[in-house]
Amino acid sequence: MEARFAEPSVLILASLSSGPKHGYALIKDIEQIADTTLGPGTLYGALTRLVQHGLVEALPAQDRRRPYRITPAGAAAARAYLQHVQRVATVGLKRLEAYA
Amino acid sequence: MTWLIRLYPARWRERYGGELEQLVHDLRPSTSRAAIAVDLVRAALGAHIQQGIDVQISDWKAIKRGMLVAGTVWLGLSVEIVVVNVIFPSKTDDDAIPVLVSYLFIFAALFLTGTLAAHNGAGRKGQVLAGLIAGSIIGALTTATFAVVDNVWLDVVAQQSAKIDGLAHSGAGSMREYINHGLIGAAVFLTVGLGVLGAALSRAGGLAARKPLSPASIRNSRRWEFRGRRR
Repeated sequence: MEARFAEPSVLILASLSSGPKHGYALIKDIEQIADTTLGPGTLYGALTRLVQHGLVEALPAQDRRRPYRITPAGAAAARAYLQHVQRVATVGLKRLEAYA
Repeated sequence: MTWLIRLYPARWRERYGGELEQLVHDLRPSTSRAAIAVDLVRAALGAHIQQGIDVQISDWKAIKRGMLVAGTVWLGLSVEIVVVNVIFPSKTDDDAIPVLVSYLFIFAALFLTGTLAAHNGAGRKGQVLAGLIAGSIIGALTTATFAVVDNVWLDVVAQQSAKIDGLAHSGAGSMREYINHGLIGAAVFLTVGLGVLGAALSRAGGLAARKPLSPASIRNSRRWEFRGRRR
């Protein structure tokens, strides 16, 4: 059984690190990088929180599709979180090797 | 399918509803209707819960800001009370203009309390509570200032013609007794009266500050404390 732990906010920040995207493009990009499909409600729930925290900002809408862009604060927060996860993952994998 | 977006809070819908509707439309050919529906309902419920939390945080901040405004107003009034009654005392009853200015100052501060509360995302309850508490604090503390001034500088205050006339018609045994008896009534009247007036003026200020929402206004007006799980 495969479990996926990454939360939507992290996936969105990771996706936006390669450039601004609107909702549909975000969902498709996250499917590629994380093999996870976010629902539209889940995506916008996380986007709302990221915008409120100043980690992501909205760009002018194109038709009804509004692109979002990661902010410098968002990039810093994502980098810090992913580095932390990486440290935990490294230690966790070493210990799991010893366990096995 | 997009009718499910109506389940979201109105404020949220106003900002994100159009985009979400477009996204649902874009996803429809490749994603199952049931999966989208379940996700939208769950997310709408989450948005309602989050909005409740946001409003509670904003309301509490509005109350704290109102208390700060009340403290500032009280300090200003206290200085004015000491200056008028002790430093430059007048024996004649000619304080109508300073009293009028003081009341206008209080009313403006209470109105401002509601305006600030609304600008920072507080709801109707937060605006009313902020004004109620601010008005009550101003009333109670200002009466306390009068109590200190009147009792510490009783010999100066007792020279005021209004107090001399009042004592003569009161039947009180001494000027101190007369003044303190009056202060008890004033404490109740000012605390309750300014509290009620504060609630009304603050709400009026909140209504005056209301304007159509834009992405920028939401982003700027609702600054949360970052309570991310990642910290």
